[in-house]
Amino acid sequence: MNRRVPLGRWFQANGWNAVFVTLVLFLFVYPVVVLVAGAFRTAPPGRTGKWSLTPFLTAFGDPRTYETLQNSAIYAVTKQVIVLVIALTLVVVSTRTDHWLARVITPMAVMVFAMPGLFFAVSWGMLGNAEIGLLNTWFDAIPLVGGWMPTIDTESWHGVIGVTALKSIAIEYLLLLGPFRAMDRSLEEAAAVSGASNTRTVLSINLPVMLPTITAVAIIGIGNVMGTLEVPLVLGLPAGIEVFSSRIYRYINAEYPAQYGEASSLSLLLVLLIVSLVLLQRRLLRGRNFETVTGKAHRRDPWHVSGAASFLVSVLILAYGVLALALPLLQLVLSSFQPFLGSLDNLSLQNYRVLLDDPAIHATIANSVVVGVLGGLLAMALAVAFAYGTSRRTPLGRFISLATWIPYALPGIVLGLAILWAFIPVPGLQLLYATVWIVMIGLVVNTVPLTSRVAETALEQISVSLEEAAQVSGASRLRTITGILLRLILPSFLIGWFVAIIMIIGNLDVPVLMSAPENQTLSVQVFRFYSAGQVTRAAALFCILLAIIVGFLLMAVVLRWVMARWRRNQGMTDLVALRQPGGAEDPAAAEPRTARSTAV
Amino acid sequence: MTIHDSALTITDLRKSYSGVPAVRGVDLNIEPGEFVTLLGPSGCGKTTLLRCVAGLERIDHGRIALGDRVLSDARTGQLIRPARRNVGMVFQNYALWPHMTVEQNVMYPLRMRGADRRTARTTARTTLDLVELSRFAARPVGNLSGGQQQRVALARAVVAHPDLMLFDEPLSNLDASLRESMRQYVIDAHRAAGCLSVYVTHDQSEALSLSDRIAVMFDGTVRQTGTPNEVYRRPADQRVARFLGFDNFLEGTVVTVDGDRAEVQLTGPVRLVATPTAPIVAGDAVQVGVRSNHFEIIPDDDAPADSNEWSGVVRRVRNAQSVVDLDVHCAGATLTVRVLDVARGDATVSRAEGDAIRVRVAPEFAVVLPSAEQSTADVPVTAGVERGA
Repeated sequence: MNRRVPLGRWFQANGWNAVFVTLVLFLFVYPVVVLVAGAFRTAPPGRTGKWSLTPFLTAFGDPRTYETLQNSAIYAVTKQVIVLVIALTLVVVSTRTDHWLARVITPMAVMVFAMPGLFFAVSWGMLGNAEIGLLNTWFDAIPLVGGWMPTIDTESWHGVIGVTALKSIAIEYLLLLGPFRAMDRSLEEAAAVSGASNTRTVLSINLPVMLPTITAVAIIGIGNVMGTLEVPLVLGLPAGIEVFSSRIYRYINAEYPAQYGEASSLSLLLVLLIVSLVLLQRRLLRGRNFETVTGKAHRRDPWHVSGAASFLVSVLILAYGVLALALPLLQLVLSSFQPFLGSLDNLSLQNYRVLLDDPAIHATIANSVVVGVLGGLLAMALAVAFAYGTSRRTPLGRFISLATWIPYALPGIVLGLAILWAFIPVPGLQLLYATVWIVMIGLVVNTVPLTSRVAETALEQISVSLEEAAQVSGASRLRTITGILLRLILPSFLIGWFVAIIMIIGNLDVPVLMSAPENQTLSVQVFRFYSAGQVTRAAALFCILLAIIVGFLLMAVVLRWVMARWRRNQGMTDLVALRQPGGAEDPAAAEPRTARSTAV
Repeated sequence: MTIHDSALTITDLRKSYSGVPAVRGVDLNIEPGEFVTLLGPSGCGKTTLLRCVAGLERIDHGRIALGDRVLSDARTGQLIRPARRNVGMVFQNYALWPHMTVEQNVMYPLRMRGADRRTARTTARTTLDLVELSRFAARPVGNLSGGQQQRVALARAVVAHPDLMLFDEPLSNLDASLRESMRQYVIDAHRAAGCLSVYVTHDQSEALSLSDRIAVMFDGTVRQTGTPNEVYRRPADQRVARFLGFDNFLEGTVVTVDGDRAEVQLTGPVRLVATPTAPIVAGDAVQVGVRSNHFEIIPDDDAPADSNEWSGVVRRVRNAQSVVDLDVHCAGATLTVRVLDVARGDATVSRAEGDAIRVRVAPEFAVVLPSAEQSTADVPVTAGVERGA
């Protein structure tokens, strides 16, 4: 199993494997087991209870459960259809055409992607407030038209679906971007010389050829939205729309006593749904192997868009920018200066003053930054260790890599719950309860699927022979890892770390049930302010959160630039590129190809 | 006059990619029904030229017309989309649509031209017969071998009766053994289409065996056009000669010119009667090109001749697969002389290192090349071999 010949002793290799397996079992498998068990317990974890079918039967006997199921299905599928149509349009425009806004789309999507889900929920909750929302106020102010405009209320089905779609569009766009760029262009050219128009080519060639990718993205999108919490919580609950994630939240937070068993049962159903979606997708695509011989890449003149089509595309892109970024930001910043929502008379820094005078808020900010930086580092380090230390060709390696994908199927709120319950009964770990560290562990586990991809891609690009050369030159295994491997993947490692920080700091799903009142994170505190009616204070705190996120985002951009320069100066790109005979491959197109075969 | 009787006229075509010229002024006329190959090393602009004809590239300068029909005109900005050119094109990587069956791939151009499903299917079947693949009609294309895939691509290109057939190195992704047998399918497709064909390749033997006419390209320009025989025997300059397998180049000065023979005094004692490929006059500095396999080893008992004859010493014997190359040191020159492996047993031909040797070349196999090209053309022409290997 060792392609990387271990220099050390046999037991050393197996010792490492044991460490990996324990870690994986504990962080990724054990919480799921506890979650399953929790569905059949009468008392919350850590308390004495009995095994019983009651919670399970209660959850599934409750008609509200089926209403929730139906709601979730409507929510997920409607959103997915809208998102896919828009995301595909944007991808085609950005990768194939010379539209004047084509180059704006990707940076815009990256910005939207970096924004926490709570950003859209909270800001659109304010914007689309039926009485005093900015949009309705503006519309009313337009002479004549005002009275005719329908009132916009985001606390509604339209609102929940539309606002969720805003972020999903960016995510799915970014997921589709790489595959669309990498697609063999000669397939389109063959269609063009066969007499197909550009539109016809997209419909009859691009979309069918990309069907496996598109289906995968759609299913990921449906799965994600089933578990997403922010929008259903902020916009859905006030309108009486309950989906899985908000129902689970309410079982624990809005009912007394908290219905742990029922929450667990519902979580299980949700996980099963997501897992079956993934299996369905595999089944649908079985035997459809669309790999083709790729020829020389020939640059092709981009498609020219003009006239009505160009106008429509402009409207789409601009509207997206306004709805997903400009308006929410404007509303948040404006509200943060308002004494109460809708007041335009007494704008002041009062909200910030109150917040920054509060030592509890200082602690919250510190919590978020520490959890983000440390958690991000851990998530990235774990991902590298897993990617380096395992080979998927061995049963053990396959198990580890599969296990690290488990959190992907667990919505944040469920994952948080599972980890909480998993740790409470363990004697030493009880100490973590109600601290910010347990929240961090939850966020790390939640982020590992993301960082794993970064780590795998990075290691993928480094030829094993570079390490072998170091070892042949007399370097010890440790020196090889620190001096060669880590040095080479450092840029990717840092970028992955920063992305993880941004994801962790903005996350609400995981900490919302985990964090104790005295140890909040920023996102949870924003939500608490908002749901307690202190809307403008929530806005001010959110602006602080956004400033931190933007700060990290800028650091990542600067870092990336510095790294690129440094690598160029060192001539390192050549070394790393040795692995890819293709040479000028687009980094965005560099999907992780095959599993890296390694063993420690 | 139907469009099948139209010639393709390319006038002063230029195309750059972000400032880097790929095609720098090409004029080419291709007659109706003619099979013309664009031959050259990679990066010479042959594929770009083909793509301009297909309409896949916008041209920077010049004009492309098929008969009276202007396809691309840089001055008026006219660019007929590829979909409206009625061309058939075969791509290097086949470019078959993986989500369709063999038959669906072949039907596609017909469907795009408005044929109903039934007619399209019938026509597709007939065309698949041409490439002997009708029994695979219902298969997904991914199940076929490379050669079969390229035959599907040939069928797809001819199925809709194109006015113009374009081939972009269609055989270069295939095994060497398969490549030769595929040539017949290419010829069949060309004949079935009944229109003119433009074929891009870097493989000289492919070009020589398929074409009515060859256009040899270097650095974005056409250096020579001619029949395979002309190009093979009378290369226009040293670079073309080198690309077409001439491997001995000897410096000299023209002494006399007489019709299609010229007498050249080489550097050193040898005087050579050779064949000019371009207008020259006495006194010109020239190069004489000879293929190593066109030398003839002179039996020891033959009397010495006045010209076209060298005597020297074998310095190295290099064994290749079915031939043996001798490096021969003569006064003023080192020659590479190739003898067939089967001839090694023959005592008159067999030589070891250090042996004395006399060789000669017939006037028709020694070509006089203008020397002026030499300095600009002194770039190694290895590129053409790399993908063919």
